[in-house]
Amino acid sequence: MNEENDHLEAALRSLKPRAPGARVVVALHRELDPPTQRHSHSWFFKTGLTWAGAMSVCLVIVLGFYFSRTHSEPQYHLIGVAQSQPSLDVFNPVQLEDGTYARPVRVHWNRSAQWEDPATQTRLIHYQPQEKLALIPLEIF
Amino acid sequence: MSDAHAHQDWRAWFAENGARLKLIARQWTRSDADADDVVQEAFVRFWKHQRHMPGNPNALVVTSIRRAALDLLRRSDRRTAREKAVAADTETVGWFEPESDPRLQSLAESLELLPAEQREVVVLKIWGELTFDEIGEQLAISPNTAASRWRYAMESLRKLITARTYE
Repeated sequence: MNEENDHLEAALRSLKPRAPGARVVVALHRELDPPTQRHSHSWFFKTGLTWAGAMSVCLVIVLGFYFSRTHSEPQYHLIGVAQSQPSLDVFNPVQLEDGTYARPVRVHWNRSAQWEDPATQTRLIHYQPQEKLALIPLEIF
Repeated sequence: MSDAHAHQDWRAWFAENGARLKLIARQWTRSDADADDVVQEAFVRFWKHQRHMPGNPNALVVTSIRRAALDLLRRSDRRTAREKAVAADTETVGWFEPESDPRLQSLAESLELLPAEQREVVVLKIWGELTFDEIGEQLAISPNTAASRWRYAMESLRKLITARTYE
C-alpha cells in the first residue's frame, strides 16, 4: 500500500499546475518594481497634490481675510465731537495748612464723540466724563 | 528590521512558484479568475510586509493565500445567488496543463473530484510543500486528522483512476 501511495504521490508531483494569468504577472512586476523606477509619476503626482492643497488653503485664508475686512467689519467714520455745559459744585470753605482759607469747587462735564457706519447707519457713541477739583483762596478781612 | 532575503529575486521566485501557488489558491476560490486575484493580492501582501522575515517564505505565502482567499469568499458571499450561479456555470478552466499521458490526465481530473477537505490536504502537501503539522496549522485541524485525510484521499484517487480506466 505504501509503495502504491509513493507511486501515486510521484505521479501527482509530475502534474503541472496552470500558471497565473498574464495580468497577474504584469501587476506583480508593477508592484515589485523598485520605488526609484516608479518615482517619477507618483512623486510628481503627490508633490503636485500637496502643493495644490497648500495653495488652496492659502487662497481660502487670504480671501476669507479680505472679505472679513471689506464686508464683515463695519466702517465707522467720525461724524462729530460734543462737549456738555459744565456743572459746578461749591463746598464749604476749609482751612489750609498755612492757616489761610479756601473754598473747594468741583467742575464736571461730558465729552462725547460719535462714529457712524454708513452701510448700516449704526452709530458708535463714546462718552468721556471729565472732572476738575480746585481750591479758590478766600481773603478774610 | 534586517532583511533575511535581501538578495532574493522575488520576480524569479514567483515565476518559479506562481503556478503551484495558484493551484493552492484554487482550493479556496470559486473560479480561475478569483484564484488569480487571490494569488496576486496574497503575494503582494507577503512581499510588502513579510518578505524580510527569516526562514522559508513558502509557509508564509501559503498562509497569506488562505487569508486572501477567505477574505474574497466573505466579500463574494455578499453577491447575489444569480451571480454565483453564473460564475459556477462558466468555470471550465482546468487546474493543470493538459497531459499527453492519459493516466496523468485522468489523475489530474480525478483530483478535482475529491471531497474538498481531502483535496486541500493533498494540494497543501504536494504543491504547498507543507508537513502534516503545518497543514494542521493552516486548516485548524490536528496533524493526525491531516494525515488521515491524506490517506483517504490516496484511496479515493486510486478508486477514481481505476474506475476511469475501465470506463
